[in-house]
Amino acid sequence: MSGKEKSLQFPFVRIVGQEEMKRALLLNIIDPSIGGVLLRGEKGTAKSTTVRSLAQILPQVRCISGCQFHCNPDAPRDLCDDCKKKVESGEFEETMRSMRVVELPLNATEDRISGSLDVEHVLRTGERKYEGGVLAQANGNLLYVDEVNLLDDHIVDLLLDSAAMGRNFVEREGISFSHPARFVLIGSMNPEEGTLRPQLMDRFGMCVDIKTERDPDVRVEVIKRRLAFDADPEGFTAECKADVDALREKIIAAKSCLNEVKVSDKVLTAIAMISIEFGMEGHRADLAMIRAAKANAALEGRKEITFNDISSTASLILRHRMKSGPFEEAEFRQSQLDSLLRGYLGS
Amino acid sequence: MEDALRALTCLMVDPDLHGLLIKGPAGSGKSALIHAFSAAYTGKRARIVPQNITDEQLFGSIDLELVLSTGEVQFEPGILGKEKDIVLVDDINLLPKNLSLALMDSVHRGEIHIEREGLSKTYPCSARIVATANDREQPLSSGLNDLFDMCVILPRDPDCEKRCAVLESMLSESALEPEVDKELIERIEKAKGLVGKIVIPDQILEAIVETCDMYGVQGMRGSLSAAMVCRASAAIDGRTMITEDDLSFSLRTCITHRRTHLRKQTKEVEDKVMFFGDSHMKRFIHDDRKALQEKAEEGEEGAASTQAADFVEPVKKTKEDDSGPELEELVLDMEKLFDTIDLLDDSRKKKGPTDNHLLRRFIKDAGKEGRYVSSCPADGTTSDLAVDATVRYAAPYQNQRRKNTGRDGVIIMPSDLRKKVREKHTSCLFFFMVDNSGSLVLRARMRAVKAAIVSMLADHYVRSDSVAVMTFNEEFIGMLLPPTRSVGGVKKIIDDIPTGKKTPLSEALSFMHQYVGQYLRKNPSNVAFVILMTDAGANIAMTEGNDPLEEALDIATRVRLDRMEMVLVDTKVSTEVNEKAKKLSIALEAPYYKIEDLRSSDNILH
Repeated sequence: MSGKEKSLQFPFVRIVGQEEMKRALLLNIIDPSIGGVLLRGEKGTAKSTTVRSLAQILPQVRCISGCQFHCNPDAPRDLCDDCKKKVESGEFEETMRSMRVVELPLNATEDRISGSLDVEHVLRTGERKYEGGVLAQANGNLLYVDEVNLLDDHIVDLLLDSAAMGRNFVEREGISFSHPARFVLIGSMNPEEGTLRPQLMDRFGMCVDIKTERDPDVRVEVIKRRLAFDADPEGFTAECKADVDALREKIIAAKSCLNEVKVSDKVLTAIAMISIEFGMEGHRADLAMIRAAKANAALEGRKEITFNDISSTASLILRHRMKSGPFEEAEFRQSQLDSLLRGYLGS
Repeated sequence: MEDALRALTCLMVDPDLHGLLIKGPAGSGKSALIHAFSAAYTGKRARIVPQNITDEQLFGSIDLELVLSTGEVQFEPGILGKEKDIVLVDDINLLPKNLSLALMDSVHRGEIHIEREGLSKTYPCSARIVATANDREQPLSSGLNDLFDMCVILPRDPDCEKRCAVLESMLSESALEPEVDKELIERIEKAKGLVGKIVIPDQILEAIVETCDMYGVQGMRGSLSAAMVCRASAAIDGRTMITEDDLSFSLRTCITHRRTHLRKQTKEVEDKVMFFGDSHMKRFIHDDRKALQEKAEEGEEGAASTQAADFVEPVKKTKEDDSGPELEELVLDMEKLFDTIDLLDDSRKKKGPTDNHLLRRFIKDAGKEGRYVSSCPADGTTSDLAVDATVRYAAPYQNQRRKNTGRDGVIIMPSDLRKKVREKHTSCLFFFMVDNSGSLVLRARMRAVKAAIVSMLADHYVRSDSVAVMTFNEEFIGMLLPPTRSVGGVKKIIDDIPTGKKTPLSEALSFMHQYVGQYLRKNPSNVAFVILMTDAGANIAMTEGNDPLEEALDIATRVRLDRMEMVLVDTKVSTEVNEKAKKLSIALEAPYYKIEDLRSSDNILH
């Protein structure tokens, strides 16, 4: 669904409802190490619209000029080889750039994801040159995969490897190369079309189950806003510019105070116990829960983690990791979580 | 026909409408109508997307000819990018799903995004998609259905005279140059100017939202499309006021392919009758019902409804009379009608839980089929050349070679040649063929059958596999659940298997043979496991006078197919050996099992 003016996306701040999805996305922007979001839900529930609209509220980040991986000098561990040298010698120029939403089309091929030889350059000059692919573009950005459950398996493996290592290794067509690939992976899927491999499911830090709004008034409002946007995209966007800017500022503020949010021992114990109680394997869930709670506190401008920070974010992390058999789904119960949490934190 | 024509016109009027789906059996004039419309509006036939289209042809690719002759890399847009008006996708249900999804996503976004074969590009696209589907055999997935703003069902014309007229016009049409219909163009241009000025009243929006909810339409696209169609429909007639006819038309076209059948909501619907109390909506409900009933009577779904009706309560057809039944009854009757129509394809609309144990099966280097994943040096005899990879490999040596030979362009040596490595996964269809005839009427035995199916699936289901359930008895032989990957729905379906009547075993076998054969031809990388669950108590023959069992045994020897394996599960509960079923299993060359043997750990399929 897009208007006549193709470059404009429906504004994030005017999307009706779907609070859980919005919150999950915001938390991941504030702290990318939460590990991405999987949006699971019926068709036509504004999954793609919401993700694409994120571009408007993404903050600016530092970047080394002229680098095709837009390396950030603030993250010395995730630099490409060229930038590493530059940073070590201290000779580099930097600019500010907006984070982007990079999309991976369903029919993308391996060479364009990991990158390959720049044919044009080679034909012209006879020189081998690596041309970055989608993973190179995604570095330091958001990578959005629509219909992630329908992606070919070898593509999924490629994504998983890079996401896990934060680096993309290219070994093909006489090129041996690696570059940083740290991105927030956002996937969306409609479970009716097929399921997702559990390995991939587990890689997503969060998972949101999206439902259609049932309230007729809300639904009417959705249509009205969409029609208004389609009729006059520029005007509609201009009209809510203040809200968009305010939200972006809020994100920037949250990002900068993220490290000041304290995690008390009580919170750590509570999260560890929740993990055990809900049968989580490994530590991915624990870490994600702590990070999400921190990001949530930061978003609301607090430096202490409260009951609410954990209670409202833990379900996003636990639900898709619960073990279930082929014919029955293990059920996540918010009440169970809350009573457990109350026991450890006192509410 | 009128609906289809109006829908096509709407599509041209509002640029925010992107897709129209026309369903109907072969020979209902789907493509002819679209071509005729395109000719009248643009002066040329609609651009066709052929069945064997590749991603490159559709979305665009590098102009290889130019690369090879000059060394210049230039982009060549695909069919979708070149066409500004109507792109016709015939039989979209037979295209690969990912291709169709990428296609629809591109038109909705208004731009094409390619990351393929060394090409990265985003460019605008303004084509409108009109697709046809005859989805009786290969249903369109609900997600794909939803991406089409409108859907019209065309019935086959049973009238001989009309058929002759169609034939005549087809014969003459091919001789004549398509002529632009000035009136149509003028009407559309006028409507285009008008459509932005129309304000949709809240009342109409509320009606749309409520109706979508009533038919279980998921997501917001249905309501949104309906709102836009309302507007476009009014604009076509040169009005700025939206009338009941516009509303009725928009709901008809926007809900048909999106509704999920929700029987359990009957009670809720009763509550909603309150809402429909105002006279405005009364008319609409009536209109909609009439149209749907006509459709059910004439169209292909009519056949399905009469078949389905055999094991559900009979359909009550209400008189089309304004002063007729109470409004409440109307709503309920409409619900009932949908019930019966949808029973057969309903299953795939139910959502299944996610499975969690998976195995993947791959064949690499799968000949010329499958997806092109990478390349390797060609051995000199290949016909499956990876041109892009070859050019990439030859690229670094071009300067040197040009110098040596004094020639221009790209110089390819035999050592550069690369061939495609293709990969495909095999997947498997579990085809349950369940005898639900009188000999199985004992509830307890049916339960055993159901339990057996579930336990078999729990053991053998892997993600890429599909499941289908076919049932047979005297009154109905056919698919209760067409092949689907959503295994969760299977359990619900199995719970609902009705029983009763006699056993037409031979007819059921030949139906299975035809259906599975067709499925395997369409899915050349698949294999099928047929699990026949019966007590082999055949008592209806296909040809009168034949002994039913003898005939079934005879047919059984002739239903074998490549890539199909069969298993016979004897559902007769007794301690003695069931001779009939034994004989049948020998004729089928299928392993024989008794239903008691099927415990969850038994591994009969591997």
